[in-house]
Amino acid sequence: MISQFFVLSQRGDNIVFRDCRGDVQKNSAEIFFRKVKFWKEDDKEEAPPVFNVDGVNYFHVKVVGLLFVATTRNNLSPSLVLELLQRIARVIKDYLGVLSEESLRKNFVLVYELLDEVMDFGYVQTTSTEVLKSYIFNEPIVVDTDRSTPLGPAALFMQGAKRMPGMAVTKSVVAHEPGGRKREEIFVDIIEKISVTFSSSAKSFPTQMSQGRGVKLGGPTRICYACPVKNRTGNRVEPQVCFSGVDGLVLKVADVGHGGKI
Amino acid sequence: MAPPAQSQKSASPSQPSGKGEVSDVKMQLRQLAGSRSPGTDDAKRELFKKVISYMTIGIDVSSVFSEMVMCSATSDIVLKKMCYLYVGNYAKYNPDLALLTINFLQRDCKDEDPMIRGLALRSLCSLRVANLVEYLVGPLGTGLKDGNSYVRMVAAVGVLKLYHISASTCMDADFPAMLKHLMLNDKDAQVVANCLTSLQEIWGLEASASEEAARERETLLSKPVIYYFLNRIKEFSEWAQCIVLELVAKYVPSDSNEIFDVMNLLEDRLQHANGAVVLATIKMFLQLTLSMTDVHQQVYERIKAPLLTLVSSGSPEQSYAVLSHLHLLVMRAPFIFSSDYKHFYCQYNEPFYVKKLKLEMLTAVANESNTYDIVTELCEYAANVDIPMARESIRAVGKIALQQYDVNAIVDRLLQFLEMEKEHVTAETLVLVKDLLRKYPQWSHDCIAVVGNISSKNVQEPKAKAALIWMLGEYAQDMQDAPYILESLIENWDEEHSAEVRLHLLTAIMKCFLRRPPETQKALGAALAAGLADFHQDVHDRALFYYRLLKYNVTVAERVVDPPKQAVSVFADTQSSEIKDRIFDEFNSLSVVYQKPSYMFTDKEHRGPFAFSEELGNLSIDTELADNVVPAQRVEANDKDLLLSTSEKEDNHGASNNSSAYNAPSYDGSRMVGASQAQQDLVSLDQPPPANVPVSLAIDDLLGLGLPVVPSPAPSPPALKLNAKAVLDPNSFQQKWRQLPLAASQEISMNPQGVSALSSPQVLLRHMQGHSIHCIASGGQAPNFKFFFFAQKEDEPSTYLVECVINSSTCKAQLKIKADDQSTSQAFSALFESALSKFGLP
Repeated sequence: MISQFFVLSQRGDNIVFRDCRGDVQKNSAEIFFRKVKFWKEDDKEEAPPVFNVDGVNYFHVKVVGLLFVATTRNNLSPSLVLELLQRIARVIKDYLGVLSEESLRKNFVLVYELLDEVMDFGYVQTTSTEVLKSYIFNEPIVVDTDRSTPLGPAALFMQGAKRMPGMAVTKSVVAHEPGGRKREEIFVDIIEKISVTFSSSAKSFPTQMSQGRGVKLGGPTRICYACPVKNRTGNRVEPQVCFSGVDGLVLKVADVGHGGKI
Repeated sequence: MAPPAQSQKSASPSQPSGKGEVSDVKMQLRQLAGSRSPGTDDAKRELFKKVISYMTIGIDVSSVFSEMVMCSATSDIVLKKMCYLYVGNYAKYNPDLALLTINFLQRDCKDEDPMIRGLALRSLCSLRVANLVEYLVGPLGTGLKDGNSYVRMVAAVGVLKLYHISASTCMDADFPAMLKHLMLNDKDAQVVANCLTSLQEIWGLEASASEEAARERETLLSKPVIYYFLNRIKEFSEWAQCIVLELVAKYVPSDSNEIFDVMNLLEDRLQHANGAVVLATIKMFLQLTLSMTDVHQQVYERIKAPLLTLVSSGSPEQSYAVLSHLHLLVMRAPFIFSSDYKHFYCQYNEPFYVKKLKLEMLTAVANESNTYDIVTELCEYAANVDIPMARESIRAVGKIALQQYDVNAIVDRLLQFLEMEKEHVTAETLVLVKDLLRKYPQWSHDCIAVVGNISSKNVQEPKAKAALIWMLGEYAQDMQDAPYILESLIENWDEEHSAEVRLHLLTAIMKCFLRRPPETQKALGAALAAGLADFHQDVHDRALFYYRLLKYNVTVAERVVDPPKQAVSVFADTQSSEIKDRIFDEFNSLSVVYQKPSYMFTDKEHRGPFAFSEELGNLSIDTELADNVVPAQRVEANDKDLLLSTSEKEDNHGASNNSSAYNAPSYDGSRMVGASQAQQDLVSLDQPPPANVPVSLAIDDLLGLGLPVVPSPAPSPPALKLNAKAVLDPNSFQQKWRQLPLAASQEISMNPQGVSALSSPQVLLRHMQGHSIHCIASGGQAPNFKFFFFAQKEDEPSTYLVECVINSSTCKAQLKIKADDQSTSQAFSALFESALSKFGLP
């Protein structure tokens, strides 16, 4: 069971702090932040997601620059706690529309309300946005979306690239749109990771990438597909194959086979 | 209910000081409290929000407590929630004020809206004020019987909260029994799950004090309860599933059919999107099949794909957790991932902690077939701009080289690193080349040629410098310049800050002198003089030692400093197999990430789900803390030994028996070796198992080999005959001890002669062994000794387990006996007593 949950900003300020069981000292957030910031043990640059200081175990995940932290004195399952932290971030994002320091600060009452239902005495109750809807009564204060950065690994590909922003990505699940909310949109982030190592002689080691996604769409649908064509170093990269079959109903992004030609 | 607690610290200058604002709010709240006009609720909401935001940024708003409570008489749930939040935050520090809230919280507990009932009950239980517990009992009792599942859910956790405030109140009100009833009957899965977690914690904490709680805790692991949970598993939320799976992992099915049933039922959990569920399932599968070698192997095959998916699909944090587990698995079964090595190639955007684990995985999975590919990949990382990454990669290459696959090519690669002329690469590589040479002296010519070209000025890191100096000394006869390089290093003695390097320098110059005296004599003199004047104690002592040694006799000095060396065959493993096994027992916990068993990083009371194994574990733990290696008294009934080579296992057993506070009987040790040897034979099946070695029954069953258990003429009283060569491994002992009910518990007096003969635990062990009662673990010092014994019936696999605590000052022995076959436990108890009473008599 989790003793404390808190969210820290990049500067180490406490944005949200919840003590579930009271068996970990109050200044744990400071201890944690100092440890993470000055993590230089044997040349490591970044603190691992789990570490132990004086018998207290600190778990953390980084989401949009915010640190979501849980502490406990028990020997818990690391994957459980780390998964939970990710889910909490996702639930909060669902309710606030945008996950950022500003939106958290403006909506902390709602965030506490959510945390109350997600965890009781350090035990997880539910992390389902749907289930939580029946327990949540506060309404979010919407934060200006333009300045906010998109969430998750997709951000990497979207730097400078045109994308379909739309209200839906940054909309709270509880917010009501004025003038009818009949927009039928789904957003699917298809994130394909290709890992290629180039040797100094510009020879690449072929690496397989295999991910196929099938999305079923009902009725005649216009499909916008944005394909990022830049790699990390900014060089233009032409994807070899992008689609292997668009038939109106099923959009399938098939395997991109490549043998070092990129 | 605690918004930022450090909010107590001084507010920043930009924030309002608070005083004026708070009294403002107080006034406004007072006005609103009585008002019933429309729109009041909205105004209240704004005010409440203000209060809470003050609270969050650290302004003390406890002065508005009574106004807040007055305003809380509303049906607006948002207002109520904010009020509960406020109350929860201040009640703990203001117990007097908290009393004010009891009234309205109790009233809310009877509200017609189940939401409000639930919320009020939760707040009530969260006040954490000890003198208010009496007000909790009533609402909790009604809450547990509430018609709405939300309220029951809150109440189930509420009982646990009450237990932590006042355990006696909770036990007196008989809440655990109510929870148990609810757990086994409630329709709502989350209520059931909360009951389970509360009961696990309550009984777990009570178990040490009360027999009953310990028994109740064991009933959680009984077949009907486990089946009840398993049948409902799909109703539970993913988090509750983790709890159930964790529970099932501790269950010991009675036969293999049951194991297969459970596994078939839970097979699809491996595909779950939640990594926590997948890992919990894997843990359960691994634990269930520990005794079934071939099925265990199939489990490894089965869990491979889900694990690899988790590594690549989740967040980097999740990958980290999963990779730690993969690393543990791969140490036990190196071949399982050997064809999937490409999954462990690093991606540029991964955090360093993930990359590091991946490199460890790559070294662990390397074998004949994939070494070339892996090393090629690693060599590319070595040229990485990311310096820590480059270092780690070079270390990984070195580790692979030490694993003896394809050494030839790797040595070439390493030597190429030296030509890259990057300081950190050279430094890392030198250290590795040194280790390689210690293992493969045959490569010295190739290496020396390259190493000789490195200017010692380009090597600054102490470890690398020490390695270089070591090589200069060790291969002085092959390196033309060795004496002169060493000489120049000695000239700069004062600039050398690392004592390690200076120590190496002394030794190297000695070796060099012994081989090429005329060229080195002068440098040696300078080195010894510098060493004697050194402020570092070790350096000074070593120089003095060499000096006296040389003065005494040069041949003797040669024998001491430069004897013919044997190549190192295996570098010492840092972790004992005992510790590795314990970590494996704690699969899916932090132990795996930290690579330490839980007792090394948690307090006793927080060990939680793994608490039980301590009872036996304690005995060995203490010895480890005392820095003694525990003799390998465990039977490796798990897969490990079957997978790794025999040689390693023999190593484990070799280092047996040192004098520590707790000793496993050496007798057991040797027997265990025999037994595990037999297991090995069974698996390889290339020779018939030796008929005189009893084999543990699980394996017997599994392979369908009905091995005759050789009867032996044990001199025991009539009625019950015990098998003189009974075998039981500590794991099964623990499992049985956990499962079986207490058959007999008594205190007997020992005869004083016996007690006086009990100088050390060993004496009694030998005596009891003569009566076919074997010891599995023992410990203690006068006057308190503790023993765990076991015995088996001669002609059937029925086991008796005994915990025996002897106090030699009072001549009393306390016995706890558990038995497979309850009907004969009395007979056994009598037999045990008679055996014990004969102790010390001539």
